[in-house]
Amino acid sequence: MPTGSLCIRSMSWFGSERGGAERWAGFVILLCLAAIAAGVLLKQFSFNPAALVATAAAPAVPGAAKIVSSPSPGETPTILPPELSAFSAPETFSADNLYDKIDGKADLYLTAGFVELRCQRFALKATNDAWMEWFVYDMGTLPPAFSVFSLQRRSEAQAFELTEFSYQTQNALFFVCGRYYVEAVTAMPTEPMMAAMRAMARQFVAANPPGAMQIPELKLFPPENLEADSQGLQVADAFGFDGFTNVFTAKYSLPDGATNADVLAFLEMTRTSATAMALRDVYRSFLLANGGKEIETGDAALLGKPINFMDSIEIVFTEDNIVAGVHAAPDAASAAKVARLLADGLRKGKNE
Amino acid sequence: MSELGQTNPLDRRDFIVRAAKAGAAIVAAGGVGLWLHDRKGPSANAFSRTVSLPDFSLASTGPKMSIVTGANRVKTVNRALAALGGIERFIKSGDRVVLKVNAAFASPPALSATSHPDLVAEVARLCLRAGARSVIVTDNPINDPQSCFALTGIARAAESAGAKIALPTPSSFKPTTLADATLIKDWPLLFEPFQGATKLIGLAPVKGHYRSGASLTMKNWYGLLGGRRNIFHQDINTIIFELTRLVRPTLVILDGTTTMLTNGPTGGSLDDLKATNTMIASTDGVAADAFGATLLGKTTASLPFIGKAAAAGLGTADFESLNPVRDHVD
Repeated sequence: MPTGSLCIRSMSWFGSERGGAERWAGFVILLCLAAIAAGVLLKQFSFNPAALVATAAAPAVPGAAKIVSSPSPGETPTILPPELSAFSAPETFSADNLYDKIDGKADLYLTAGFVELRCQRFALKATNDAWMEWFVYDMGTLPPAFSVFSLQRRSEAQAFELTEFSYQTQNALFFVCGRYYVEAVTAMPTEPMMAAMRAMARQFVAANPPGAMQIPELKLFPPENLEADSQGLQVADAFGFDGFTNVFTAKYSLPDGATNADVLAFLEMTRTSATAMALRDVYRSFLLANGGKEIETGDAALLGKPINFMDSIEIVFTEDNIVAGVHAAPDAASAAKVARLLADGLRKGKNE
Repeated sequence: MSELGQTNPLDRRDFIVRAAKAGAAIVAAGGVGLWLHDRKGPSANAFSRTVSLPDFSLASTGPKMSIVTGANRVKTVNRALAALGGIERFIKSGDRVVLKVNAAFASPPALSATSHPDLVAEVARLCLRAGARSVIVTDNPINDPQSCFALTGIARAAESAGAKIALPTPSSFKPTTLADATLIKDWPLLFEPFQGATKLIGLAPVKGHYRSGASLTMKNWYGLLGGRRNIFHQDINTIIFELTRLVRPTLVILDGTTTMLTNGPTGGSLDDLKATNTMIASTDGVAADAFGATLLGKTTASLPFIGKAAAAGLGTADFESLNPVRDHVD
């Protein structure tokens, strides 16, 4: 039968000249399809997460969902100092079950581009009841690793010379090694334990050489009055604004002026200057739409009018393809000073 | 195309007949769809029936609260309970008591990510001394339950005080549905430890929380949920509010001896912690959380779950209106 003939037959099944099983088979098939479509349409209005997610997709006891695997070469066995021994089996968590390990903090990692977490507990052989936990977060690339490192930086951090981004607290080490963000945490911060943790950290870096960990955006912040180790990266929803997706921040202190305030400067690189200006305008609109009020200063021509937003000052401007500004400054004078400092630095950086 | 040219032209009568047939097909399809529609929606068929927790609150006590400062948990919790009339006011002879602790992480007590074992042991001891027939300590942790109860020190402390640990197993869960709820529908609830229970006490540490802003007594009930509960993080304030509707405890104890100010709920560094040396006991979890917010340097307005619960009449965010008994022990 020619194809055209078939088409015409099927198109004309309502026609009086067609009859028999062919017509009714077509009718039944169409009826079934329509019934399925109607069923799907109606069913979607009674979505029940309990039935669809809870019982079938995950066991009731979270621990049972863990994937336990052997550590990969270059990780724990080869970097383990002689004074430490395994205290638990290694565990691996993916984006699907990271929550099973760190609960509500998982979102911090997931939004930054988390790939995998490997963790394991180790005890000092000499004591055995003194243990620490070693976490290696694979964040895919350096910037996300730096992001989660910077967003959790402890205010009491002490220097720990390991990589460009590393510090220690009284009971823990935190560092970035290329694509990895690593934490080593103990509740018993004796000197032998801390020494063993530092040794393990050094061996990890030796086994996973990160190369030069350069993040070009960080160099755009002018060094004058910049607080040491205050730089950070927010990869989503910075300052509650969903248009900011890769915002670098740095804190400036102004001890020599009328005020003695910490001011947060920020910048985000975009593709073109037009994109930067558009993003600047959308952010300004966001602030004004949420109760912000423009205030008059002499710098308006250079940096745009500052905005009083919830009793703090926001300034946002562009320099070529960079959106930059000051967030939540305590007063207009310090905001303007840091904004000028940042604008001059960006301009100078562009000319160099 | 020649065959098309050979068909009879469509006249008015044919058109009406064909349109009527098409209409009938559509109506029939719609009818079948309606007939197949499950108005109740899918259910969690892994279980045979839904359950609900009884109301463990005591009408006779009314909303009460005590706030005791001091660094020693054993002393402060004793004083805080004494200020409410003593544990005997809440626990009677023969009671079967459940202590819902926060054992979420396999983390040592020094990091304050979980209920402190000293507090768990002391409350268990007080309940047994008041005549409780049994004390069961339970939680559905984030990490492996056995490791969590062991490494937090809660298992050893509870057992040394005479309490029993109820580790969750798949059979410990039954589905529950909260009336008029958005999220808690046919959801697995840690139910087994509550079978035969007559009293419920929540023991929660004060922690900041990356998602909800704070983890206090109301958030502590999150540990009664099973399944892939992390999906609720997308609507964290609603799930905490619904849990507060679902669980009506006899008493809550909020341990603000050490507060996790930053990097909660896991913390990790001792630098995340601050000694705030405060113990709160209350029959009103909303009021306890409203006070707990102050230890975190937050306002109740910044923690929407408190406002939601207060607006629904589950407690008061104005904890001062309860005239809390304040005391201090060295």
